Amino acid sequence: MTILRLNLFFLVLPALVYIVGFSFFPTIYAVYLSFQSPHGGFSLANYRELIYFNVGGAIVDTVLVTVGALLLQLAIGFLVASVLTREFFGKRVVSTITIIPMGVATVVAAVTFSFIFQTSGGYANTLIHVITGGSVNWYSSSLSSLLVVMVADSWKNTPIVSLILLAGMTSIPKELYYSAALDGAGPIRRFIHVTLPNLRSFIGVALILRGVQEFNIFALPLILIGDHPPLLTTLVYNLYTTTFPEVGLALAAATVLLGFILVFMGVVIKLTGGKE
Amino acid sequence: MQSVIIPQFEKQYPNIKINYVDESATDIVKSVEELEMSGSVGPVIIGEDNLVIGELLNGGYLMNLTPVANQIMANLSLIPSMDKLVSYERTVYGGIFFIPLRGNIPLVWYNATLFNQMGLTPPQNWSQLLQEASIIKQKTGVAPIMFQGHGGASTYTELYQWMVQAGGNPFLFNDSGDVLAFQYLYNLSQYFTPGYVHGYWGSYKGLLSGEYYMIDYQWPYIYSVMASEGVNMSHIGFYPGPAGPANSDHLVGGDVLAVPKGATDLPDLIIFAKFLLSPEVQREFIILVSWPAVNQQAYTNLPSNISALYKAEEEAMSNAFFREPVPWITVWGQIADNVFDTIIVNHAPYSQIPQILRNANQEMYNYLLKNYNSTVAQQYEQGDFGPLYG
Amino acid sequence: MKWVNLASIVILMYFLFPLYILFLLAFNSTKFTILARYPSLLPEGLTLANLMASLQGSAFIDPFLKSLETATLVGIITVVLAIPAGYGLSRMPRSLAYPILITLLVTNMMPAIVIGIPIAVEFIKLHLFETVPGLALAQTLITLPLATFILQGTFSSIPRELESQARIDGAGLARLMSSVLLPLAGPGIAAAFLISWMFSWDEFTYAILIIPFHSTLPVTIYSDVTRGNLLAGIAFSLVFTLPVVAITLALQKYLKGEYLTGGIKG
Repeated sequence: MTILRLNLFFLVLPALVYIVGFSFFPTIYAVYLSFQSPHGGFSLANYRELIYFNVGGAIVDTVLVTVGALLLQLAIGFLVASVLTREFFGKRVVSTITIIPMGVATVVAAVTFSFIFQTSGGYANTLIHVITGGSVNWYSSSLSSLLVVMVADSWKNTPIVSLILLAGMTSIPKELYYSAALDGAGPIRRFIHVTLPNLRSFIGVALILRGVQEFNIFALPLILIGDHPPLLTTLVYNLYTTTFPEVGLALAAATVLLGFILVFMGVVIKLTGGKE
Repeated sequence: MQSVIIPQFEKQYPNIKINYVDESATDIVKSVEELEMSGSVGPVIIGEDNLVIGELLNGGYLMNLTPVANQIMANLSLIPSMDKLVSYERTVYGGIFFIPLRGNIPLVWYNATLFNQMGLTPPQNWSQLLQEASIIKQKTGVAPIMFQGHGGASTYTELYQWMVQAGGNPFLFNDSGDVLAFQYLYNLSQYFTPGYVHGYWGSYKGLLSGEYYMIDYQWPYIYSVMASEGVNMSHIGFYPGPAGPANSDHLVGGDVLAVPKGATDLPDLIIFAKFLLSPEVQREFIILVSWPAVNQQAYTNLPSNISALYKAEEEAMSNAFFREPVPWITVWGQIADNVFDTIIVNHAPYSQIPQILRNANQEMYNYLLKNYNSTVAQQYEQGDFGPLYG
Repeated sequence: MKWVNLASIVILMYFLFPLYILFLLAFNSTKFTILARYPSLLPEGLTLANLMASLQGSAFIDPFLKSLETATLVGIITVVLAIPAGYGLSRMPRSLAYPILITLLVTNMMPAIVIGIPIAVEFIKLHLFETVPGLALAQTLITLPLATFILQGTFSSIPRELESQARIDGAGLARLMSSVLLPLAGPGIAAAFLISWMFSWDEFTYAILIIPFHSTLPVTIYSDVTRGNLLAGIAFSLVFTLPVVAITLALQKYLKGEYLTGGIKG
């Protein structure tokens, strides 16, 4: 039996070594460097400087975007999944089309949405202009700018969430719904008491997969809002330069980002009861 | 570059093949660093932004070209500002480490048709600019000015020039000229088109669509881009821009040629460098991509439509300065962006402007103190670093 | 069920709208797109001129081929590494497999822009800088954990009885794999390959750092758009997207959620 276990371990080893070697060590090194002073020794100077660069604001905005985008994706994902559990005319078409955004490159989605949402003009405003004669500056406030990022990001990423939720929903035995209906529960109560609890681990998977990627979104905000307002990733990018000691600042911001991701993962795993 | 000039070179010198690489200025720094750290450079010659070259220089990544400089620059008559840059090099760095390749100077662009209709002439100084912007806004309802407010190199490069024109040393942030510049920009910002927060090196398309009517400032290459997209160029006006309270000096950007330390095949690199600096090729720079040439002889006999653009550039370059290529310039830039965001984008109260700028100065000083040494920090505070007039 | 039809229509519009806009951007004449303040929502002045002008020559073909090569290589490397890893993990006890999986997922999380430089420098020493294999190896860092997770789930769902039966019949590991496991895991493997391929096609950050010179399409599009070369950026975007959408559609049956959720039994 031990020989079998050893064999198994060797099977896993290539992948493990590869990933650990190539991402783990640079990560640790980067974190280590962020705490180094250019004259040698431990120092929090980089982190203190981050405060001048409004890292607090970047943190808040990053959390906002992550939470907002996740909520949006869950909501639309549930809608799509609910629709797709039913049988109806044209279902094939709908289920095909809902997958398409997965195939659109992030850069392309970003460019397209940047033409849709502009400070004055743009496709969204064409519609509004026709109806009301006015136009909306989609980037007039931090919040609205973040909203644009959330919408663009959710468009691209809802399909995978809906796929996961659909997989979960189809595995819920219909009997549970029937007996709930017999007990007099309407659609909403059935959703809350039958669907949601059984989807707990699926929602967890969706949250972890998407959540980590949400904290890391980069190309979309870079193209859509630049750094007005900055997110942690765009902040890192702005501060990034390869000369030492200047690079310490960017690495500090990146470490902050990493910290948040770790906390986030911990919370989600706790709330959704792990992978069992 | 790729479609015309490189093939010309390869035709003339069939033994030499050029691998052309188009990267942003800061990416070139990373790439050269990577090459140097790996220990195998190969035959590489770079054309790097004259601002960022300082990082490479101070990092010790560049080959000392003094022994071959005469060879490369034989028969080369540089335009005055570039000549001064080379003199500066010799004085400060004790040798030639880079050779000017092309210049770049920002101009102000405006919607000539609208100006004609409203009987306006391009504003000649800052107060006129404010006035005319106000008139345009009143009559058309549109805030007319596009500014490079996106952040990053484009914003702090533009800010640098505004501060110099107000008589300030941009590095210090809080001398009287700097404060004046920011106070003026604060007032001018009410006439900024809302899209200015996305304004960058390539922003121009709103000029004709009615989104805005003036671009303060933008690099001349947009002329070629617009022409190639079928824009009717008679609608477009351009000129060096309004004079500041202290001067109307312009910031010269552009690229310089340099060779990473340890590069191989130096003779071939030299041939290529000479080719790029020759009058014929420099002339093509002007005509094909609107790049101001550094070779004097390239300016003879230009086609008439180009020469209008060249005239504006020449006028702007008559009083030109360079940003001193100090190694910490990107940190200065990050602080400058931050100041811009605080004062202009987020519209801090007017009375706080001096305080905000004082904090910026403090931040830069502390950074130099911690990451370099007290001598550098002292020199900084005394204003030893500043715009270069050669 | 009336609401289902209504919801479907809303969903269809939501997902198709941006693609429609991309279509307009590419095919309407510039008067109605980039030169107009309120670009037209209808097809107007349809022209192929934008595409023709931008897609000529190596400026487009080179990045396109580079993206293609890289993505295919990423798919292959990922699957080759993930199959044994996924199998091994599926047969290990949970207490051992779980932490390994977590390690794999966690190392995925550092922003690529920070790991990028040390990796690129190492690659230079290994002569992998500015090469497709080099970029593929870097991108595999990101695709491998997910692919392993998927395949672990796929292999978990293959009943052990089949395996023990084959062993009793005298099959060694290699035969076990080729005649029993791989065929059964086919759909999962396809899913892992597809997802890795699509991810690499999309990837941006490592591409900028490791192949900064003649790069892949996403980087090319990005630099076109930021330097004002809007038409080129749009044209490339369109051509870049079409084949991938086509592939996504053709292979959608592999993109089922079951494979993504791996070993979760809800």
